[in-house]
Amino acid sequence: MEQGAEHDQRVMNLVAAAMRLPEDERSAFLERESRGDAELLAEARDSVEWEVRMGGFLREPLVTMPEMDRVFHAGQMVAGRFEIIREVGEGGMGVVYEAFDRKRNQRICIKTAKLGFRRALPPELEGALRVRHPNICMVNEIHTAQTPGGEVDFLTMEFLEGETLSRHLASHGRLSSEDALTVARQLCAALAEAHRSGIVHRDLKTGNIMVSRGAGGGLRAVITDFGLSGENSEFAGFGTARYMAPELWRGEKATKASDVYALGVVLYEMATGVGPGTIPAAPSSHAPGLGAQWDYLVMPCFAGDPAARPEAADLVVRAGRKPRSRVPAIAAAVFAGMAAIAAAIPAVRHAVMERLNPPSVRLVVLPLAGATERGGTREGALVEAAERMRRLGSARRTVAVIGPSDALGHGVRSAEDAGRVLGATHALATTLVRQEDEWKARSVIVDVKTKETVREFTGKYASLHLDDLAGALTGLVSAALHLDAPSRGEELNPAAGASYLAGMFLIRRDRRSYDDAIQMFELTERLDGRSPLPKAGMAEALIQKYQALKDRKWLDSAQRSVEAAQSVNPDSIRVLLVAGMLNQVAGRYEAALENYRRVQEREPRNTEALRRTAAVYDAMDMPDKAVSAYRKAIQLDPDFYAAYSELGVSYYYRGKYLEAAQAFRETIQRAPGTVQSYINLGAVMSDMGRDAEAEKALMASLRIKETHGALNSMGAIRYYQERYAEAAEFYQNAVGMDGRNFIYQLNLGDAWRRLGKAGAHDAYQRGMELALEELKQNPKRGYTRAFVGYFAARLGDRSRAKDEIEQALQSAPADVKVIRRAVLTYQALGEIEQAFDVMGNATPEVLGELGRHPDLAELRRDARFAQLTGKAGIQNGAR
Amino acid sequence: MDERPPEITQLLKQWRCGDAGAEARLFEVLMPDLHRIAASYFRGEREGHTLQPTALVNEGFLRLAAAKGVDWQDRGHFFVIAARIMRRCLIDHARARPEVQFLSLEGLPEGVLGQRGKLETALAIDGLLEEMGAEFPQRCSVVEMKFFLGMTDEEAADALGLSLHTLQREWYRARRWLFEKLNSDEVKPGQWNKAPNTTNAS
Repeated sequence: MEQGAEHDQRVMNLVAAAMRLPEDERSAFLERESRGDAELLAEARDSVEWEVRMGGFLREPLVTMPEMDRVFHAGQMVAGRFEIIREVGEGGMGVVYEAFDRKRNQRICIKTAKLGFRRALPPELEGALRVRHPNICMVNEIHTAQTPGGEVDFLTMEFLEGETLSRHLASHGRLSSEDALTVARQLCAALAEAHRSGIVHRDLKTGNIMVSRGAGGGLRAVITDFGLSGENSEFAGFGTARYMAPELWRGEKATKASDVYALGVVLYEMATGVGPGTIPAAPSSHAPGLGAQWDYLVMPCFAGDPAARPEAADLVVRAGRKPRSRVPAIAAAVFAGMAAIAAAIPAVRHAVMERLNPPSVRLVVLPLAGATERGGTREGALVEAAERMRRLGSARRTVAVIGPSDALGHGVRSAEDAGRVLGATHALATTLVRQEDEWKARSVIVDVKTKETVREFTGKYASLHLDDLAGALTGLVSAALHLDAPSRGEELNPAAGASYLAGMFLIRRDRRSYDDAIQMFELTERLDGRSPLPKAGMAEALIQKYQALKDRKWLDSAQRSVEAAQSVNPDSIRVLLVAGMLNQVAGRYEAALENYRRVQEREPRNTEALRRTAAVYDAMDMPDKAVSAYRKAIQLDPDFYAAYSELGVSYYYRGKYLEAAQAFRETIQRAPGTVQSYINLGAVMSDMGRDAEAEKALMASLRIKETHGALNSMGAIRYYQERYAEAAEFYQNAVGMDGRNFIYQLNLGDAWRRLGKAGAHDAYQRGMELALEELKQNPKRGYTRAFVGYFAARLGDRSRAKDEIEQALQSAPADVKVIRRAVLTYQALGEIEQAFDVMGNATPEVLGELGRHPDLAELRRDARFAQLTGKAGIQNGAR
Repeated sequence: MDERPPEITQLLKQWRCGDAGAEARLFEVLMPDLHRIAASYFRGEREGHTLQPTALVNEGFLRLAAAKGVDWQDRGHFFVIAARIMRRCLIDHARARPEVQFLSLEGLPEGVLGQRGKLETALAIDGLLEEMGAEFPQRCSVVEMKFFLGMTDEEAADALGLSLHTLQREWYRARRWLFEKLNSDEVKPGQWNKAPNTTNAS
């Protein structure tokens, strides 16, 4: 009967949905939605029948529904004078209570952080106390209360009647144009006043605005929470993403200009009842009653360049103006309105025009129906098509293309899968049917959201000319999605098409088929020596061969292929990308950056080049630049998962676990079916000691697909729990799936050592060999060297262990994994002094993790350990 | 910071690893504290004033965490144990003071509600949970968290390390099991009617 979480989910979702329907519709609904799954239908039906029979049995808890994480509760007397009456609202981090001030005999509001969040209010709040304006919530004082959990700061504020603007909009829809204008004037004036006092709100949104109707019938709006959202985390604003100005996505600080952007979104929402979305249409296009004045008021707030946005004080003037004469037709008004703004303010022109562009495309090229991991020319045609479609990105539209091999790797076979698993917007489905000597191709582009066919295509191809299909499909996508034409100078002689496509398929399918791919590209080059494409493909296959075998000569061969490709067309994007890849692998980082810079010049909206740039910065140990490049990629297409995933990995290796976890959650949100995101989240959670969450994530990944990464991480969790036998079993399975990973060998060695097994030595020995092989190829990498040091320590070579660790620390002083490994190595050597020395440089996160490591029990007993972690705790609290 | 050994953390760890003795010991260690906290709330109870067991346990956790160095990571496990203790506290309290105002078990089918006081229902469920716990220990924890502690589905799933939907399915199964038992003749012959089936169209 136990069919796992997925089954539970299907049943419970069906039951919950059915229970919301009128009784007489439930049966038909269940029949339809169970889609022929008789077992599911029977189970859901049975559950619904029982739910009806049980009524609300036990649904209400014995005593009232309580709230977790609360500092105060109703009835409590706080600080000797404030009586908590009830909770009136909660945000992500804080809770608001209605209270009665016994000293002043008045109703007030109290705001406090939830348990587990910062207990102390941010210092910038002091400024907010000074602002006085009828449309800004008056903050009286900051108080401190003693609670069992320690000291907690709280704020007392003016008690406001009414409801939040977001709730008002949700229940009443958009404001009437008269109300909207009244509120707009109030909000603009309030923000202008705060900005005049030098106060930035940082988190302006409809949820932070209270509206109430006065005795005269007019609306009063009050902005709350000025200065309350500190800058404690880069991700602080992710919860309210739609109010975030583009520069905040890039990691820049909140400013008055970003407040103006947020105000623009608020005004837009209250006037139109909908959010502006990625490309705001003029407000007047949503609500015919709104004059062009609204377009004039709101649209400039969305300028991409903060300097181009009006100041809050300007908005007061704009909101105060009498509406100008109406522009007749709505469609004309939209364009005229926007064009007028664009023309009037040159700096805004670019931003407005950019927003007129259509939204990002995330296209999945689906594998051929019935495709397996084997394949050849036919599959290669799709691989090549995906490759060419990536080049369709233009100045107008950001395009991400996920090729058929990647799709298959994620188990994506249909348009529906593409949306569900990878968050795609479009899918290209192709069937190929053999008809005598020809292949009959039929392709459709489907809009994943609407499930509608955007465009269809059929064609016939001779077996040898299937590369024409790649060209045709590229054209199809380009025309259907309004993309620029493919770039020139990358043509291939038709005769060489078949072998080229087979080669492309092989290098994209996995990273082990390089020998076959090399053969295919050699053949292609003999048939067409003048195209850069087979040379670029050859170079990529050779890079794969080098990475697999770590023999320098393949890198040199790859270099020759790149040069040959450059001699044909040095500015071909495909050639630039492979050159960048080669330069990065060879450690010529500056040259790699130059290659990708050129790709970006040619394709400014290409996220691939940005993401690769970020990876190079990561390799160069320049985390700030890496993060900034990832953020730019995210900004180009906030809904595409790949950049979040890579950003998370980057954070992870810097020991920024909270940020990493957040980035992985963002990834899962956008691509819920990708195994790797769960594995990554599990690894971070495990490093933070949040075992339950880590296990949850890892088990989720294993349910999608068994991978050595997840097995290894599960092993690590068990190791930290000191359940060594179980840990060893997981590690053994990981090693069984991938015997060439020295980390798995290391972990297995550790677990066996703990269990007193003789195999530990062999595992360390094997790990040492693997690490040394890798080190030989890239001697500069401190990360690998640190592991060599650890293996040496475990194998009894003390002097080598010390030597390698010192070198590793020198070459990568900021790499937390190196620091961590160094501490563990010194511990293994019994060099406690040096272990503490190194720990002085560790981030609080790494210290926290080391504080739980079973191998460091001895270190923890030393008073210095508590001192270090104590200090880190303070640092942590101030972040 | 604190020189005392973090016994609760140790016990939670042992219990998590399946050491049944640790549970009994945890009860011993935690019961007096949680009971005292609970009792102080009951004493302050007034007309219309409602209890907040989760808040109460949370506070209990905070106090213990501060006093005895309990790890924050152990919060989920702590809740599993605390829910069981709260069940005992509430039941003990109810037995001692039968006039205690439990909130309405809204939506209980009329047949059931008419026959039984809320308190009696709670006591009956408490009795049945022993039986359930023997066969489905996890399901028993679910009832303790949902019914006695009033946790949300998300909180309970988190504390038990289950997926949200699995938790919801377990909760459904537990309710159904209890409902069937309560409506069977074994509990109290003659007092229980079958739930009215008249509204059940499907």
